[in-house]
Parts: sequence; C-alpha cells; structure tokens
Amino acid sequence: MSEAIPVLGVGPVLLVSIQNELTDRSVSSLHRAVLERIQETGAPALLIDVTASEVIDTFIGRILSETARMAQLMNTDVVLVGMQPEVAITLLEMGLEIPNVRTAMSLEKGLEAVGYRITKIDDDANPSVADITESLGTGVGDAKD
Amino acid sequence: MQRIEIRDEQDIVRARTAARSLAETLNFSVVDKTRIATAVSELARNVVVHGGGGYVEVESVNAEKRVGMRCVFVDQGPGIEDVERAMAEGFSTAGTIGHGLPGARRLMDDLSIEATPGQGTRVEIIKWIP
Ligand SMILES: Nc1ncnc2c1ncn2[C@@H]1O[C@H](COP(=O)(O)OP(=O)(O)O)[C@@H](O)[C@H]1O
Ligand SMILES: [Mg+2]
Repeated sequence: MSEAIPVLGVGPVLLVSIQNELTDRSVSSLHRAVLERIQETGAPALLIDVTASEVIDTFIGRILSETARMAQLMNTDVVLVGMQPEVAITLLEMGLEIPNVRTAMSLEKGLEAVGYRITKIDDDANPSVADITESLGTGVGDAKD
Repeated sequence: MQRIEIRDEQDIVRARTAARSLAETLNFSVVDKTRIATAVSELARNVVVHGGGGYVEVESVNAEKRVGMRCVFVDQGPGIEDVERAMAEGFSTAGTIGHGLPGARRLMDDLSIEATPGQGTRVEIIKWIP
C-alpha cells in the first residue's frame, strides 16, 4: 500500500511528500529514491512535505533527520514544508530536534526559502493572434469591438 | 473498551487511529489529540520492537470530577531490567534514539510502567480533559 514514495521535480528542486503511514519498507525506498534523484540531477534543494503527517513520532522524526542529513552531505539544501502547528508543538515536547533543517509553512514559502519563486506567466509574453494582428494594424483585432 | 492487537507496523497505525478517534469523541483539543496519538504511536512501536508483540486497550475514564482516556499496553516480551534507566532521556537497548518513553510521559498526564524481567511489560497512560 505505502510502498514507493514518489520524488517529484519542481524545476531543479526535488519534492517528496511524507504520508502518515510510513513503514520500514517505505522508509528505505524513500532514502534510496532521494539519493538516486540527487545523484542524477544534482538538485540544489529538497523539499520534504509533511502536510499530511498527523503524527511525527520519534521513528518518523529520525527518518526525516536522516534523509535531511543524507541530502545535505550531497550539497542539497533541505526544507521541511507544511508541518502542522500541533505536530510542531508535540515534537518540541517530545524533545525531538530535526537539526539543520529549515521549515516553511507552504510549498511556495519552501521554494522561496531555497531561492525560487512561482510567478504567473505574463499574458503579454504569449500574445494571442488578435494581439498580433492588432499590433500590425490590419484591423482584424478591431472587428470584435 | 477497545482492544487492538499489536504485532506489526500496520497495527501501530491502527492503535493510534483508534486512540485518536476516541480522543475526538471525547472532545480533546487538536493539540491533545496529536499528543495522545503520538504517545500511542511510541508505545505501540515499543510493543512491536522491544516486546515482541502484544495488545493495547483504549478506553475512556470517569473519575470524580474528571473525564479522560486511558491506554494500557501489554506484552509478554523480555520486560525491563531497570525501569528508571529505560525512562531516561536517550536510553535505548535497540540503538534507536531513546526518546519514546520519556517523550510519551511528557505528552500525557500520567505514565506508569510495570515490568517483570522475563515476563513482560505493561505501560499505562492517561490524559485528562482539562
Ligand atoms: N515494551 C517493552 N518491552 C521491553 N523493553 C522495553 C519496552 N518498551 C521500552 N523498553 C525498553 O526501554 C528502552 C527505551 O525505550 P524508548 O524510550 O521508547 O526508546 P527506544 O524505543 O528508541 O529504544 C528500550 O530501548 C527498551 O530497552
Ligand atoms: Mg521507543
């Protein structure tokens, strides 16, 4: 069921989403997949999305730390994305630390933390046929007005 | 009272799902629900990893003026030689991080351990509705 955890590419940045039901098997496949993708792509950054994690216990916490450390050893910046406030509180109370890892509230903020920004494509960059004909002064674009 | 067998990782998920849904029914806060589910996850994992399997009983409790919930984890594994040491931060006989028991104690209002070497372990946790 929870076998392979996909490693997605968002531009040069890698993204993995941790689901709640992480098992030993999916953990080792997570490590392998992340490692392979970093080797292949030389990704500058890895975002680990924990939005769906309702519980981060010491087992999952350790996995997150190890995955992050492994990525960092390969020169890949790591950001933990979307940790729920109640999960963060619980982690602190447990005395769990995920060292050297930044956090971000959303995917957008996570991308910004590693130097990328999502921007809407400017419509003028992809002119429509009407725009082109209008700029040529052929009058085709005016006909509809 | 609900009893959940704990043998493997899927059972750990089952145990914490059961605990969370009782906590939900009892109207615990969002943070308390997460504390309870996390503590249950730790202790259920200990039953699998250290205790060789067992079960947990999840139930609501009514004391004089308080309402809360209790989870009792039971296994017939090796027990614990030195309970105080097992409760210490960072102590583990499994090479893992050893924050499970002390962490779970902090997340709950009460955690008590009865362990007989060679016979098994019983861990009881309670959380009261504030
Ligand atoms: N159910 C159990 N049966 C036997 N020993 C246990 C049990 N639960 C905990 N222990 C002992 O207590 C130690 C500390 O447990 P814990 O704080 O959860 O850390 P960890 O699970 O990382 O070792 C374990 O390493 C183990 O020696
Ligand atoms: Mg443990």
